[in-house]
Amino acid sequence: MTTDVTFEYDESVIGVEVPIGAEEVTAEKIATFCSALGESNPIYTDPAAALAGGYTGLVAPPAILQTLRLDPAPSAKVKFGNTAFHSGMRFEVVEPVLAGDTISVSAQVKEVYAKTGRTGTMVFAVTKFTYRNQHGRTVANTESSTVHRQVER
Amino acid sequence: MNDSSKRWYMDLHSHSTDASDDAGGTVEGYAKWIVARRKRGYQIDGFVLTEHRQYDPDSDYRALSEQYGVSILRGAEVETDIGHVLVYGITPEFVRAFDLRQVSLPHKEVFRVALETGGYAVAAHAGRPRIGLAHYIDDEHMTIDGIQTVEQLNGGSSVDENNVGLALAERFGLKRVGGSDAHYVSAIGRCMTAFGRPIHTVEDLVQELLHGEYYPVTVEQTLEAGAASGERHA
Amino acid sequence: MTASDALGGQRYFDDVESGDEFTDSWSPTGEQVVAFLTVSNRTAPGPNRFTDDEEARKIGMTKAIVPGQMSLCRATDFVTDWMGPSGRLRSIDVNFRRPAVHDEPLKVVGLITDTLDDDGATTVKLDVYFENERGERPLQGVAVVELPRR
Repeated sequence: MTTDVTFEYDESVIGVEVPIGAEEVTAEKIATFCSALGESNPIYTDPAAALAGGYTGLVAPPAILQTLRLDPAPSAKVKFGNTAFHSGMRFEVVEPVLAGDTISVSAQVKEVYAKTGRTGTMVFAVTKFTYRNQHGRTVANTESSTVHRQVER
Repeated sequence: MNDSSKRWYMDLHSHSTDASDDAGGTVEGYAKWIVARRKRGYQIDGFVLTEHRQYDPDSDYRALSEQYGVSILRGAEVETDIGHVLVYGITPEFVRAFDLRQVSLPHKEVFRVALETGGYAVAAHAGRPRIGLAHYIDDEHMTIDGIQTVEQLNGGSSVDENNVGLALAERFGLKRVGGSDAHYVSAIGRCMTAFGRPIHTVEDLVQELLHGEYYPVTVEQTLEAGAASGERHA
Repeated sequence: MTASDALGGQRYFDDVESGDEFTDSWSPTGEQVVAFLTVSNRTAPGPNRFTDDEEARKIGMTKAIVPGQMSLCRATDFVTDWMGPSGRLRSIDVNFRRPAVHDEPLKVVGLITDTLDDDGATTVKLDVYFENERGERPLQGVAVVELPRR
């Protein structure tokens, strides 16, 4: 994308996948998550319902992957503006996560680009996360965008 | 029914996944949604794709337009020194005159060249901070020379922002249009412009914007109109 | 629990059509935000934009804001609650176009925009958004869900 804006960032991290941690998704974690978010689909709250629904055990709500305890993802260290916000996420669910699965996560900076919106010129950094289970199968992919911009304080 | 009593409802501002990276709606998704809305009594005749900072002369939605019975026209949303501007009837001369990717095009030139090359320009989401005309008139002391029409009713703006646009239009006697600024399917047609004549081509649109009478409407207002004048798309 | 009990809240492809709408409400409190940050191990020492109004004002916000990931989780749960036990979320893509702030009443909306039967694979596309009382949409997105036939 072309604009008349200049900004600096660390190009060396683009496309380099880095492991950022792993966590077991326990039944307790699922229960805490469902209670915090008000999730009530029975496959996430009742093992019997999950079995009746054709799963082999209690299912984790897909969004629970957003709450795994991880190390910080690699950063492009964008030098632009004076603040940064989360601007969007793309979340693709590949296969269900069940209670007891251990999910390993890797992350990479996918791209950095500039554009102009309602709040002036912004620079976006997109980070891609890959979630794999203990069998090495990808269970989900996420792309998370952070916007850097100047705000009047 | 006497055709002259009907209004023609066009959404003059939309973005799609074909060319706008912040959009989640596809062009076919928009057309399908309009067909579904019509079944529920709403009147939406078509929409104009105004992708951000670009115009692809080769993209062609006529097949989709015919398949779904929806007018699908193309313009662009460019970025100028008085905020964003919607341009309809874009010609090769217009594209040659500006680098549409730039974010601070000279607005007087954009409005003038659009007119001179057979098109028409409208100040987008006039009441929105930083990217709408009112901000530049009120806070940056720019002049309104050469601007005849504003997108006063914008589906992506708050009620307060649209009221700022309305106050601006009334203060300077500007003509007003409406557009959804749809980035997602269910937003298409949320705000539109009611025209007195059918609009099947971009030339029809430019002629109406130049010489016709028109006003902004919400999609709910077309439901009331439909109840009064009968179903048009049955 | 029997299968029929579990499927009591099931949504079926046969029963939905483009234009169908379902809604919920959400007014995330400061306590809920702290609970979310705690469960995801994202608590930072000292006040910050997610927990403190003053810190949020320093970056141009009116009040402390809701983390984007928490909004994504709420939008995702809204869809997975709706689809029922035999539904399957394929994807959800969201944009955070404006910040959601603490205690702001939000209408959570799902709108079916398309239904697709691709050789027996039955999916629906939904627009999902949060709308505040001023008509602004802090979150807007698209979800794709597989639903079974009856």
